[in-house]
This record gives sequence, C-alpha cells and structure tokens, in this order.
Amino acid sequence: MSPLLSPRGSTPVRKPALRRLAVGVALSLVLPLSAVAASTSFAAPQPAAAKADAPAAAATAGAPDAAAKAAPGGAEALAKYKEEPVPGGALLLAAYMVMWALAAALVARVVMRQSRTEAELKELAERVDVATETQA
Amino acid sequence: MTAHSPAPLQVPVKQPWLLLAGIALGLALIEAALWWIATKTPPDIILGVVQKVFYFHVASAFVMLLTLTAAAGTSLYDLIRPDDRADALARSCLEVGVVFALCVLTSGPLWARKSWGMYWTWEPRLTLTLLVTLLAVAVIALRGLAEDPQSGRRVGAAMAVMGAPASFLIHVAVKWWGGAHPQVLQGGGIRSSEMRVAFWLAVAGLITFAACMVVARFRDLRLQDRARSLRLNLSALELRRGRA
Amino acid sequence: MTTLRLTWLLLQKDLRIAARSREVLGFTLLFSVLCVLIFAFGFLQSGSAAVRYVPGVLWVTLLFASSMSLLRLFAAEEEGGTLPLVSATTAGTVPLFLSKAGVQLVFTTLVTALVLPMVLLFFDARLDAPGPVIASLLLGLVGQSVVGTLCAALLVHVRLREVLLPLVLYPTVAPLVIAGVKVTSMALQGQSGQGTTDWLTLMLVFDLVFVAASPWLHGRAMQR
Repeated sequence: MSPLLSPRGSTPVRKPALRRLAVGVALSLVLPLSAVAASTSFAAPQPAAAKADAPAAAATAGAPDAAAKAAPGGAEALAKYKEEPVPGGALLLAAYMVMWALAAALVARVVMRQSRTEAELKELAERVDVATETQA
Repeated sequence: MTAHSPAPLQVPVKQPWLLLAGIALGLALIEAALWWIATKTPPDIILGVVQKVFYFHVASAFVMLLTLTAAAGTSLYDLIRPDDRADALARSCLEVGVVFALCVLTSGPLWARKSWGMYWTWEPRLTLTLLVTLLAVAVIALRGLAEDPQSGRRVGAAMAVMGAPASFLIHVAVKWWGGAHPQVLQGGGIRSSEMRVAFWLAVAGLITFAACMVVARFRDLRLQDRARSLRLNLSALELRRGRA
Repeated sequence: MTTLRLTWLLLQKDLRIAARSREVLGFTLLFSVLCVLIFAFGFLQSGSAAVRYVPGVLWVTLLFASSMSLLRLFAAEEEGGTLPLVSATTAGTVPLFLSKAGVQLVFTTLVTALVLPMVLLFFDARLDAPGPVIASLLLGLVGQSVVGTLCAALLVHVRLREVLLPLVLYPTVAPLVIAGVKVTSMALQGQSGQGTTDWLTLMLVFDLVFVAASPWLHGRAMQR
C-alpha cells in the first residue's frame, strides 16, 4: 500500500467486515426484539385496554380528543370501539415492521455507498502505487 | 513530483470508531425504548395497544423536522459562504430526513386507521408533511438533473431553504388550523410516567441513530470528494509522465 | 442606472413582447377556462352543494394556470442565451428577478380577472362581501408570482424542469393556497371577522418573507 494513502498513521483502507458485523449484529438484535415487543402487545387481550382501572394509567392527553371528535362522549366512543374491533395489534405490528424496514433500507444504502467509495479508493491507491513507483 | 504537491494525493481514512460507538448507543437506546414500550407502558384507555405506535411515530417526526431544518440551515450557510462540508452535510441531512419522513407517513396512517377510523384524512399537518417530503425528494432528484454539478448544488441549496417555512408550518399546523392531530406535547403532556420514559427513550435513540446515519453519509460524501480530486491529480500526473 | 429603473425597463420590454405575441397569455387564459370546465364536470353532480367547491376550484385553477405561464417565463432569455447578459449590470440579478415576477403577477392577475367571475357564474355562487376575497387573491397572487418566479429561475439550467417545477412550487405555496381557500370559503358562507383577519395576516407574512428573501436567494443561486 502506498504510504501516500496512509498518512498520520491511519489505516489505509477500512476493514469493512468489522463495520458490517457491528451493523448486522445490532440490526439482528433490534428486529427480533421489536417483533417480540409487538407480539406481546398483540397478545395482550383487548379488554385489558378497556379495563382501564386507574385514570393514572391514562391516555395521552390528545388521544381522547381524537376519539371525542369521532364520537362525542368518551363512554360512547369506548363502546363503539368495543363493538367494531379494528385489529389494533396487527396495525401496531405493521407500523413497527414498516419503520424497521425503512431504517434497515437506510442502513443498507449507507453501507452500499460506502463500499462503493471503498472500492474506488482501493483502485485509486493501486494507481498511486503504479504512478509513484514508475516515477521513482 | 515536486510540481505536484503530494498533499492532495493523501486520503486519510480512519476507522470510524466513534461512529460505531454512536450506532451502538443509538440501537441500545432504541432497544431500551422498545422493551419499555412492550413491558412497562399501559395500553391506552380508549385506543388500546395501537396507541403504542405513538412513541416511534412522534420520535420519527421529531427527527424529520430536525434533519430537514438542519438541511435548510446548512444549505443557507453554503449559499452565503460556499463550503463543501456544509453542502455534504445538507445532502446527508436531506437523505436521512426523507427516510424518517417516510417512517412518519407510513406509521401515521396505520395508527389513524384505528384512532380516526380511516387511513388518510386531508388534515393540515398530514398534508404539509407529505408536501414537504415531496419537496425534499425533488431537491435530491434535482441534484442529479442539473446540467452542471455546481449550479445544481446552488439551486438545490436554494430549494432546501425555500422549504424551511413549510417545515415550520408543520410544527404549528395543529395549533393554528385545528385538525385531527392530538396536541400531546403542546397540550397537557403525557400523564403516565412510564409513557414519558418510553417516549423520551425512543426520541433519544432515534436522534442518536439518525445523527450517526447523517455522519456516515457525510463521511462518505467527503471521501468521494477527495477521491474525485485525487483522481484529477493522478490523471495530471500520469499525463505529465506520459509526456516526459 | 438604479435597480428600480432597470426593473421598470425590463418589465416594459417583457410586457411589450407579451402584448405583441399574446401566445403565452392567450394559451394560459384558454387553459384556465378549460381547467374550470373540467372541474365543473368533475364536481357538479346534483348542483345543490356546488358552492362548497368554489374556493378549491378557484385557487387550484389559479395555481395550475400560474405554473403554465411560469414554464415560458424565461423562454426568450434562454433561447437567446441572454440570461448572463441581463444579470451582468451593476445591479446584479435583482432587476431581472423583479421584472419577471412583475410579468408573472400581471399574467396571473389577468387570469384571475377571467376565472373569478367564471367560477362564480358556473357554480352559481354569490359573493356579498368581496373585500376579503379580493384581498386574499391579491396577497395570494403576489406570493405565488414571487415563489413561482424563483422556482422557474432556479430551474432554468435543470433537465426535466417541466416535471420538477410543480414538485417544488406546490409544496412551497401550499400555505398560501390553504389560507386563500379558507378566506374564500368563509366569505362565501357570509362569515367574517377574526378568522379572516388571521388568515390574511398569515398570507401577508408569507408574502413579506418571500418578497424579501427571493431576490437574494435567486442572486445567490445564480452566481457564477
């Protein structure tokens, strides 16, 4: 490797394996965990949500607003939601899966672009070697 | 070789240890938030479990607004005082911002299906978010479509600055125009302490993760810049050698 | 030569060209008529609730028509290759920008003068208090012209600009359109007062920001 490419004692060409390993391990941790998180919520029966024993376990401040808009009166809204259960757990799962897929796509794109730059730098390093050797 | 100073030929590439540590920290925070959401937070009284989309939906929206505002700010700086670093930072912020905007725009409707009874409604915050996302995509596309890269850079920067008022309006849309979005943070705040912990963990985790992605893209763009100038220098060198 | 004088001269030149050929203006007016007709086909089914659609039809038609004429705004300079020459004076790019924004404002005002009565007639709407609507239209046209001219000027050297122009213009002027639609619908329902004033203030602030910032942004982005 040309000394020109490694000034200040820095590593000439990055070791991609290490970085990819780190990203891979981290992602493989996140994905199952999020699946577990979503499925435990999914498994939690809907009545548990309706039980609502304590106002302390309160909703976000805004959520009742939204419900009140849909049907005036919290109790009526509650009854309405009990009657026609939209599969909340499935929606939750879908939302988290989509978000992780997007995050994974972002990471994949960044890694891909970096390996392209890496290849470019490697090729340039070889050219520098050739150019400086023949000159010497 | 004396005529060509060797300096531009140097491409210092360091192991991004700090970046790796940042990614690890961000992912750890996200894991913690997920764990907290799954085990500790109570389901919403009215909406049930689907309310748990809230944490990462709002955190993504935070990150989106932060990155897009940062893109506008760095673009403005680049316009006032042309600087390759500001330009690279603006580009990386914009790209990351678009990804998080897509997160907001997909997780939002899935939540709304339950809480508003429909996937999509023409509500000011929703509409503005979609419009700003389209604008950001247009700016990214524009960089590739300009006839020469330098004018593309300036035009893209000007466009990014133009989008800033719209980003600001997203932030205040609900307060000014009503609309169906709940005002959680401006209004009473989150009442349950478990929810608060989960929410801020998610925000911290996503911001760290996004910052790392921005830095990674920034590094990459800077390295590409250097590779480009190195290539130019090398070509000049080889040309001289061929002539000699 | 001062900036204002130069602006006035350029504006006169552009308006004279427009008055002689009448191509762009004529086609823009035709297009806006067509637009209203298509909206009428799309929305008028029973006829009873037609008034509800008036604000939307009005503002969207104006937006479409303005992006129509924007695409040709810099055509003469582009074909003649005179853009660098016009900006080579000591006053910089400001006169060019202001005169083009002025031309666009004149065009869209003419379009509005045609479209507003037409929409009111077709959709059988009555405007008892036209004050707020006219104020909102004026503010909206100024803002649309300035932002539109900025977008068109920035995209002069970009491929596929016909596609990109709406993509960058519509998100940026969205606040104006939202506010304009709100003011118009309030006026049609006979409401006025605090709400109307708030919306008009929002439009005024938007206009002031962009009128102040656009010539500068344009100059910065166009420098060689």
